[in-house]
Amino acid sequence: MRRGFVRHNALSLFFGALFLLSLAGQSVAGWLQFNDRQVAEHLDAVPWAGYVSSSDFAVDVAENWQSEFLQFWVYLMATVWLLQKGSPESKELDKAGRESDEDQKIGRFAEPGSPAWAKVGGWRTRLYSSSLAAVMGAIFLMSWFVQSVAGWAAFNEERLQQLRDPLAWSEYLRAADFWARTLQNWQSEFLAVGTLAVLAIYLRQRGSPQSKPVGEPHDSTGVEG
Amino acid sequence: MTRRARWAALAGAGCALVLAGCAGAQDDAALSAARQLLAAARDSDGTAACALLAPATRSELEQTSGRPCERAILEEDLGQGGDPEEGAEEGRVEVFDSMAQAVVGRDRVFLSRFDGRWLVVAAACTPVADRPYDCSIAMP
Repeated sequence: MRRGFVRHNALSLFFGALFLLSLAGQSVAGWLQFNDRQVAEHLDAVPWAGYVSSSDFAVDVAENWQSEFLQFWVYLMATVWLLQKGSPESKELDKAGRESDEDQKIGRFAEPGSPAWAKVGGWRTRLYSSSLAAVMGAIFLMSWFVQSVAGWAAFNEERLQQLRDPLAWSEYLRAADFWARTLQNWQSEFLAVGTLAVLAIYLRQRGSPQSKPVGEPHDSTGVEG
Repeated sequence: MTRRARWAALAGAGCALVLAGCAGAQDDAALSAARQLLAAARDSDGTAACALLAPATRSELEQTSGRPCERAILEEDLGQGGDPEEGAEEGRVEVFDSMAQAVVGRDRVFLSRFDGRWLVVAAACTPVADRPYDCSIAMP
């Protein structure tokens, strides 16, 4: 029973464990880096618990979260309409758009095992039809907001160390620090996802559903291995 | 995915709450330390004033003046904008994590937390356009 649960949920368990280990590592490395700067500024070192509840830690976490969830939200929405010939990340070339109810198995085309809100029709089926993007988009906006608040506090802490007046939150939203943190993450996410979509036209990873089968022709589109 | 999303939402809200809660609790202590410094300077109590300085700020003041802190600090332009203890200059403070800036009368005081206690890192500051304040009491 337990072995079956682990095997059937290995992907989410694996990434959940990687996430927690990485976050723990980030908290320790970030704490040591923060205290190194404090010593250089003749200021007091903080305990680990103080660092993980600080705006410095919060902004470093949130700025990466927002960009990851933005990446998935943009990818979900872009792949509804945009195609890439030869890529397993793209749909087949005649399927751009939201597709028919029959293709999507909703309403009267629902199957016995379809989710209840896919069968019922009306606003619930419309809502459920966009639920994944809605949740991803909401987490993106919330993480970006947390980044803006935590980044504002961390930025002002640095300004006070430099004997400068702090900025208001609305001023921070126009400051270079906010946009440098934001855009440095966005560019890397868009590069990575675009690279996967293009390289997967010509390159293969045997056994992965993110790749085409090894022997699949380069111009086959929407075929997953 | 749903469980992951819920966890992320809770963590995000937690971050915001932690930030808001910590800042509010620290305001009074930081402003009080700044007002105590200015009151001590006004009362010519150099010992009390120097006890409120951060270690590096205190030693920098002694080095640049060539005198003990208790004497040197009384020659600085501090606490001349009114009597903060009588409520004429209540002052205001902004706290961001381990740093704070208190404005009392015409005095602007920068503070940092040392072992849970707010100490003054810079004072007797004059504004310089588009640059950091020029503070005659400051860190090296």
